Amino acid sequence: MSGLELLSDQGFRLDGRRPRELRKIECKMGVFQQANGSAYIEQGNTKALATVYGPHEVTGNRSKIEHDKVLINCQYSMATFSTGERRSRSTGDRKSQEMQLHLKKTFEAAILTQLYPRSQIDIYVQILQADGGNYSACVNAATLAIIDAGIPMKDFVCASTAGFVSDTPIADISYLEESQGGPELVVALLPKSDQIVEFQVNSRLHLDNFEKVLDMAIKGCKDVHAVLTRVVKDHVGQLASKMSKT
Amino acid sequence: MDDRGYFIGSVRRFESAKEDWVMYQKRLEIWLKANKISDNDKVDVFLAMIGSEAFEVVLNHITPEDPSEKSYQELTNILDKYYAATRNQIALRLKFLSRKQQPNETIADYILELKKLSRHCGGLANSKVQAKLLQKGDSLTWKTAHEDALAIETALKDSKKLSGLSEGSGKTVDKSGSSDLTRIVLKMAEIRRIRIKKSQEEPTEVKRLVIPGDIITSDSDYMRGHGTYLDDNKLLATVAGVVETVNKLIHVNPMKTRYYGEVGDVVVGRVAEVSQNRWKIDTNSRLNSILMLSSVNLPGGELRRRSAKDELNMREYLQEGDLVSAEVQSVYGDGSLSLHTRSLKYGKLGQGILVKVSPMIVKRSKTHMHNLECGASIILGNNGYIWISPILSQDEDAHDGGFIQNLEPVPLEDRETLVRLKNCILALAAQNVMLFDTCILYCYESSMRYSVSELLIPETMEDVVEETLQRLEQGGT
Repeated sequence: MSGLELLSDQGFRLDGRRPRELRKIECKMGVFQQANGSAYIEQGNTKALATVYGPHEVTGNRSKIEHDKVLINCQYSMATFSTGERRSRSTGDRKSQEMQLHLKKTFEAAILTQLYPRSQIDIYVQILQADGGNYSACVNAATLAIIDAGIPMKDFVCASTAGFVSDTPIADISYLEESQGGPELVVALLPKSDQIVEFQVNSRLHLDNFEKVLDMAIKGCKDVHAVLTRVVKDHVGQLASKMSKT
Repeated sequence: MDDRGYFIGSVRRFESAKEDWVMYQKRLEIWLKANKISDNDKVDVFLAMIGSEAFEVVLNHITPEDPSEKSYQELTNILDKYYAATRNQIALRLKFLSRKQQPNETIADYILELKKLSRHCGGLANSKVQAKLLQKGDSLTWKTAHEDALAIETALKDSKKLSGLSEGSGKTVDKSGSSDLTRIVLKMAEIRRIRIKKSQEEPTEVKRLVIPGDIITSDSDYMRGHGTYLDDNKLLATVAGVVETVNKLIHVNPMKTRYYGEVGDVVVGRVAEVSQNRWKIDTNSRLNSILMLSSVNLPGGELRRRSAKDELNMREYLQEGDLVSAEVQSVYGDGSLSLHTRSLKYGKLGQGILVKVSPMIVKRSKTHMHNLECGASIILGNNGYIWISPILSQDEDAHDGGFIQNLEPVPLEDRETLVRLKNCILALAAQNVMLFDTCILYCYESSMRYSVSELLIPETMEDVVEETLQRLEQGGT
C-alpha cells in the first residue's frame, strides 16, 4: 500500500472523521416539477440526483412487458465534471451498465412490484460529484425519489459502505480511502426488517474480520436511515400542512 | 402582631361597589403578612377588617355556627364563591359590548375604558360569538378569555394608528366616525381571534403521517387498503402520507402520485396511439386509457353501428397528439381505464392551454367544467390535466360532434386572460392548494395587481396565493 496514513495513531481518518463516523448527509425531496418523484442527496462530497417517472405504460420494446409485475428501468450516469478528470462519458459503458443492474435488483426487492403489472417505472440517477460511495448515494437518492413519487415500497432502502484499515473497520469510505486498494463492503439494507438486498465485496478480506466490517456497514445503513426518515417526515409534514389549509 | 405597637399601612373595609373581592383579598393578605399577624389571630383580624357588608355574607352562609370558629381558608372560600357568582362575566361582556365612545371622549381614553372592561370578559366581536359564549356560560376558561383579550388588544393597537392618522389630517373624530372605527376594531379583533384559534386547533387535528415501513397497527381486525402491506400480522405503510380509516379499512394516501381512475371522473388526455377500433389515451394513469371507437359520438351526431369504414377513418377524427376530454366509463381488471365521450360536453379539444398538476390537488366536485366570469372556460380533469380555453358559444360545437376545431385566431386580450389563468393555477399548485372554480377565480382576481409575466416570480406567486387563501377563509366562515 502507498504511504498515505489512512488512520492516524490518534484514531482519526484523513478527513478528520472517527472510524465509525459517516460523512455529513444533506438531502432534499421534490426538486423537479416535471418528474413524478425526485431527490437530491449529498454525502460528504458525493452528490447524486435521482428522478423517478412512473408507473406508466411500457415504452420502447413491448416484449419487455412483464405480465405479473412492474418493469423497473434504471439508468445510471456520471456528469462530465463529476471526477477530477473532465471526461465526457457514454451512458452505455460496462461500469454504468453493471451499476444499473445492481440498482435494478436492489429496487425490485423493495418496491411492491406485483401491484403494477404491465407498467414500467423509470429511475434515473446521476452522479454530479464522485467522492466514493457512488452506489450508496444513488440508492439513497433513488429511495427518496421513489417515496416522493408515491410508489409503494416495503421499506426504505439504505445503502452504505465500509472498509478495513489497520485492523479497524471504517464506515462510509471516501474516494481516497477507496482508491488505496483496501477491502470495500457495499451493503443495501431494508433497515426495519434487517434484510440485506444488495451486497458486494471488492478486494480480499479475511473471514475473521468479515463480521466486524459487515456490522460496521449495517450500522452505517441504519444511521443513513435515521437521517432519511427525518427528511421524509419533514417533507410530508410540510405538504400535509399546506394541503390542510384549504 | 409584634411588639411594635402600630400597624404598617392600612386596609379599609370591603365595599363591593368600589372594589373587586379578589383584589381586596389580595390586599388584605399582603397587609396581614406585612404586619406579621399570627395564624391564631388571623381569623379574628380578618373578620374585623372586612367590614359589615362582607361579614353579613359570611354570617348568612354559616349560621347557626360561629364565624370565629371557622378557619381562615373556609371563610375566604365562602366569600370567593359569593363574589365570583355576583360578578357575572356575561353581564360584564354585554357591558363591554355596549360600551360606546362618548362624544367628548378621546380614542385613547375609550380604548383604556374598553381594556378595563375587557379585563373580566375578553372581547367578543359579534353577536354570533356572543350567543355562543352565552351558551357556554361560565365554563369559559381563562385561557380562551385571554385569547380574546389578546386579539382585541392587537386590533386596538392598529386602531390607534388609524386614529392618529385622522387627527393628523386635522379632522375631528365625530361620533358616527368613531362608531365606525369601533366596528372596524371589533371586526379586526374577530379576524385575529379566529386566526389565533385556528393556529392552535391545527395540531389537535388527528392526522397521522406515516412513512414507508412504519407500523400502522398490529391489530389483525383491520382490512388493508391502498398504501399498506401485511407482514407478520402487522399492517405496514408502503408510501409516505396520511392514514385514513373507513370503518375497518385502512389506507394511506400519498402526497403525490399518478392518477387512480374512478368511474365518472372527468379527464383530459392526449391521444398516444391509434389502434384497431380504439384509441390509447395518455391520462397520467399508470396504463394508457382506452377510448373505443364505439364510445365516441360520430361527427354530425349520427347514431349507427361503426363500420369497417369508420375504423379506417379513425385518424380523421382523432390522431396522435390530439387532446380530448372524456369521462371514465369503467375500470378494467388490470387497472387501465375505459373512457367515453358520449356527451356533447366531451370530445376533441381545440385551441387552449394544457396545464399539468398533481391529481391529488384537484378537488372532486359535481362539475369539473366551468365557464369562468373572467372570460375563459376551464376543464379541471380529475387526472390533474387542466384545460384552459376561450369560451365557446354553445351552439357552435353542437352540430359538428366536437370534431371540427375552430382555428380562428384568438384575440390578444383573451389570450392574456388564458395565460394569466395558467400562471394562477401554477402558483396555486406550487403551494399545494386544492383546485376548484372559486379558488381559481379568487386567485385570478388577486393576481390583477401584477402583470402576467410577474406571476412567474416565486414571491409574487406566494403573495397572490396567500391573498386567495385569506379570501377563501373569509368566504367560508
